[in-house]
Amino acid sequence: MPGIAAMRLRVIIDLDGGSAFFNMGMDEALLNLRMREEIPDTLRLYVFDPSAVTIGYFQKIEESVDMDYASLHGIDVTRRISGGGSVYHDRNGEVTYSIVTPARGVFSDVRESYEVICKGLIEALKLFGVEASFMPINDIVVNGRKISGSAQARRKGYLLQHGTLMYATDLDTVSKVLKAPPVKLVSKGVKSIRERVITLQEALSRRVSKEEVAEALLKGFSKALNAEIYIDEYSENELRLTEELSLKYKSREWVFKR
Amino acid sequence: MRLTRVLRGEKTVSIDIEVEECAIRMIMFSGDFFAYPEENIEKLEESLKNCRNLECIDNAFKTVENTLFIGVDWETLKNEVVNMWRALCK
Repeated sequence: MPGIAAMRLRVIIDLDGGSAFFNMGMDEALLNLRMREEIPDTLRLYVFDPSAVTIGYFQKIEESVDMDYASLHGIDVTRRISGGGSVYHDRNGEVTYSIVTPARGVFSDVRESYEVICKGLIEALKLFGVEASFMPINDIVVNGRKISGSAQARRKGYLLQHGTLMYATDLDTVSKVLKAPPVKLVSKGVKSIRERVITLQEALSRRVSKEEVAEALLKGFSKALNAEIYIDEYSENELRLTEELSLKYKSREWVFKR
Repeated sequence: MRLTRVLRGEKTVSIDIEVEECAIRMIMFSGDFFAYPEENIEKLEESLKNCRNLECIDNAFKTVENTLFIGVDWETLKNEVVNMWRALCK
């Protein structure tokens, strides 16, 4: 594949579900460990359980999430280390990916790296027969409606990109728990969040399982990144570091930082 | 006195500013934008604190001029901060 050097990619598939605090802690742990050259390039496919909202690093919590609704419905809320907007992670309707790799070669330019990594999602959707396209800087759309969003954090020459693929997300809950700034809806030419997004099930008019989605993502990323993949599990070190970091993601100080 | 303005480019950037006797007491940039390195936004907010003239605002932006900001144009952001400061410093 021109432009992308062949890579070996370690893959962790965790579809049992973890809390938002565990998942965000693990993503940061993987970035830190990759940065210290203690782990290889790693792709993780995972789900949130319970359902959760993650907000972008720079977002104000009160403008992004209906905290009363979240609390009433047992939806965890935390802040990511990556920028971007708020995301509802439905335990029964969404698979998240994260990848850690050096920000070198095609990954050195921020905009280009978003596109290169997002190609993995486009390839995955293609396997379902769904034509999707990349919408800069960080979205994937199907028929003009968002099906996936990604966000990237960078530290000392390494990047973490994580993002979502909505296969059966409850869009009514999305519209209730997330607050979209009016200025954003106007700029997108829609009246509500509900009008802006689409799920894979809706695009296919059939039921889809998280296992099917994970399998497609695995193949999609392998193709898009020209990667030879191998399946692995969390190491003791990763789990230990995640436990430490998850305390930050649970803390009021971090969540209400802005 | 406080002022909030929302800028819309590729992403949304909200600027909250509080000015007292022409000195910036508080400034916060928030929204769904991206900034690399991320911590430069906090450095910028800190550097802008207590600025009471254009030179100080300009220098604060210069301290983080290596920032890749994806949301609105960096110059637009800076000009908006200056405009807001001026509006509150009359």
